[in-house]
Amino acid sequence: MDFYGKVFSRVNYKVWMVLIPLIGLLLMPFAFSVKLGIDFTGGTEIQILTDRAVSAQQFQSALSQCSTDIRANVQNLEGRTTAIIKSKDAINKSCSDSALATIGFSEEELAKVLPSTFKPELGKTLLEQGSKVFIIAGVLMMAVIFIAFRSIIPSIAVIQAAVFDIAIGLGLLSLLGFELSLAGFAALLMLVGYSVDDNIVLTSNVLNERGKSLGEQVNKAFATGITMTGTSIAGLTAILIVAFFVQMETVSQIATVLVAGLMADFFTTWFVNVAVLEWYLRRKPAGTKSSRFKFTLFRS
Amino acid sequence: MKLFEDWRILLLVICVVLSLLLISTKGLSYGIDFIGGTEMKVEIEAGGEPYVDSVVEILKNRLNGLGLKSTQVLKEADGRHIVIKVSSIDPQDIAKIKDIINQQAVFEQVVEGNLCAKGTEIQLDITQQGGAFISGNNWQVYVKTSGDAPARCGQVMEGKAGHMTDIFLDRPSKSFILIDSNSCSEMSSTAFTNHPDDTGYTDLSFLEDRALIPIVCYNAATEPEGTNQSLLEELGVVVNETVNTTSLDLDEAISSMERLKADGKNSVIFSINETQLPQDLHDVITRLNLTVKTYPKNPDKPYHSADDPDSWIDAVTGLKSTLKISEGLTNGNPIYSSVFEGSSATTAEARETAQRFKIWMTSGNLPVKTQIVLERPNLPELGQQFFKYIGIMAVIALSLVAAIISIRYRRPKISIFILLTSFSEIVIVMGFASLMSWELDMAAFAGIIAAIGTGVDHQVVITDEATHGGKNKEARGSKGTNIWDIKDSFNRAFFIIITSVLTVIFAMLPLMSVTDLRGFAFTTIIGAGIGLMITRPAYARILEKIL
Repeated sequence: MDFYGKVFSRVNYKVWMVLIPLIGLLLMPFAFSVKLGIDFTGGTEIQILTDRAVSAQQFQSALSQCSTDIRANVQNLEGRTTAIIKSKDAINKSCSDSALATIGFSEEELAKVLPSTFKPELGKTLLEQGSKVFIIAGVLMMAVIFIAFRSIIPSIAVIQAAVFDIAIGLGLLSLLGFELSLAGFAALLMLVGYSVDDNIVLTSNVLNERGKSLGEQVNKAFATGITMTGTSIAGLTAILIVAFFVQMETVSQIATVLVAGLMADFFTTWFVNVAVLEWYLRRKPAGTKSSRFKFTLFRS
Repeated sequence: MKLFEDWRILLLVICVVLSLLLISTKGLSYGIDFIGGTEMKVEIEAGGEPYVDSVVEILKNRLNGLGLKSTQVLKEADGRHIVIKVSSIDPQDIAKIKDIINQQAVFEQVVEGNLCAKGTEIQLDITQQGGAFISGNNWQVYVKTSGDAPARCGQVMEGKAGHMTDIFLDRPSKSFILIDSNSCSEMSSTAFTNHPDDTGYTDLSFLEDRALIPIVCYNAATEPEGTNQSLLEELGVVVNETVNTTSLDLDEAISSMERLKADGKNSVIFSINETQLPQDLHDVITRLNLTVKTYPKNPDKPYHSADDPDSWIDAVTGLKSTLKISEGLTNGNPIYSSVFEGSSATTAEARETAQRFKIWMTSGNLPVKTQIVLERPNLPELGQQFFKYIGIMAVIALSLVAAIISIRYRRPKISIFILLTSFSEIVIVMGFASLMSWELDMAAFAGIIAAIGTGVDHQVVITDEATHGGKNKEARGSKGTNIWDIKDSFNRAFFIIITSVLTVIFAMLPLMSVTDLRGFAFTTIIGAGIGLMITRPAYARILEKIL
């Protein structure tokens, strides 16, 4: 497949180099202002299990007497209703019990209604901890990439991909009203790991060319990279769908963030990083080769 | 099999077999989001970090008495949060736990069963040396008493020079112990020593006469054998039996329990699980509406050992220390201030002991202000549902991955080995979790998914490098030699993989400090590490052999 020919012969590489980071920059404020889950803001989550069919609207209207902010994810599995209700307000069990009694919940059923309480203080510490972790992890990851490539511009190209994956992926999710919880936050760090994968495939292929054109090298890397991203997105989407219906919130959070980020990664790697590498190789005098293979397992 | 000639492949197979063995024998432990249960998080006020270990210790001690299955009290890395996990979602249990967290810790100084000072009557005297003084391995803690305590202390210590005084925290004053006669006789024949000069008491008489906890002994076979007489009499309970416990019939033992209950002892302590108790006694406990506290005794350890602060008697009674009464205090005059002193093995230990005394005596509450910032019950039914669908999830996800790989390579062998390798990676990560007794919660499970995702990615890289995009046969250099040395290709692949694995590990290491995400970070790191060391080198070898 001639990916390079199709994309870069029609549009100048400099356009890609500017256009996608620009989109990333535009989405960055949205990424930063993503709605935070109740584990960060404080609030209540109620797990409900009942044998009767109850709709999300019924839960919402019944519980509106406890809070104005009620969101319900209601699923019917094997004849049972499982519901996860979320609110940014504190709701105690007596309020939720009397509210649910109005839609016919019996004493026995109310025993299976369990509110989880998240205090805002907890969220504050989590945010503090989280930002610290993010900065430390970011610095460590950058160090690995710089050490691996020992060349500034290709390293920056890999790092930009990771940064814009987060900005574009999370920015778009934010626009769609997505709520980031603590698990999603962990997924952002994991996303960097995934993002680095295909970027390294690309960069190491291009920088270690052996008398081949940039186009050939990019195409070879693209075949590998698109298989990687494709399998990841396909597998994670399947997991996301099942997790959503089974109410495995931690898993669906992580899968959502990774899928969105990997989609963004397609552009930041195969458009931006390729363009940066082209620009880098054009301005670099021929003959100076970047050092290669800093880590090996197999002795040749 | 030719495949097994390579040590990398052999290592992979051995690891898979060992992991399967571990999982099937030792088993896996699952988080409360799978098995159901409640997680609570207690926040300690800012600046309270030095006290967090004491709070953990006090909470552990108090919660153990509730007899709930698998209670965990964990300190978080930030030193300001404590996570409590219990397997129960029963609102009554949760209310009890909340009470315990908010409960006042009561400090008591008792002289051979006679109260000297209690609660706020006794306080640290910070005007002297800031309350404590360390000199070499010796420690001193300065205390002052107020209210009725000075007169009471003077009275109970009169003429008791060289005798012992016991320090308790949260002594269960409204409880009695129900225990089988074998344990009773074991305790009555073991000398109790909690201080080098502490003599004259057995474990049993310490419990009865110094910790003031009545004991009802029952015959483990069917019926109770005897009750403690002297203490019942002390409490004003008259038992119409000769002292020294000749065999009491069941009814009489039950009536002692009734009398103890009437006397305000509304809680019963066991050293075994409630279910192991004879049915008749069980019924009495239910009828008398007694609260049950279970402190399981470790059969390999004695009831009490002065060196073990976690011994059964210490846990049951809240005994913290035993001190010797010095002469100056024994003339019967009111005691307004005194010095607790002793020596430890090292200066550091001495400092620690003094510090602990300071904490026990600082106000009635836990040493620092706490608040419950998270209370999260998990329905066991929901967890079971997760279990059921994880298999379906894995099958769908892996089939999609297999489909894409088959389309890409059109070689069934490659697809099969990629899937087999990923599957063995899952098995080894779970085997490792079993080995480490790591609790697999939902986040840990998500970490396994993430690790498998990068694992497949890396196998694609290895495959493409080894086959040069599936076209290695045609790739020939100008000199007519095959320029694609397969080792060189693997080195290129492993450069990519090592960089990627290091990136993931460095991304996840800082995440280990966030308790709720530790599971995710752990399985991701282990998965990446196992991938790098075991599964990916083996896959490369397999590929080399099947190509």
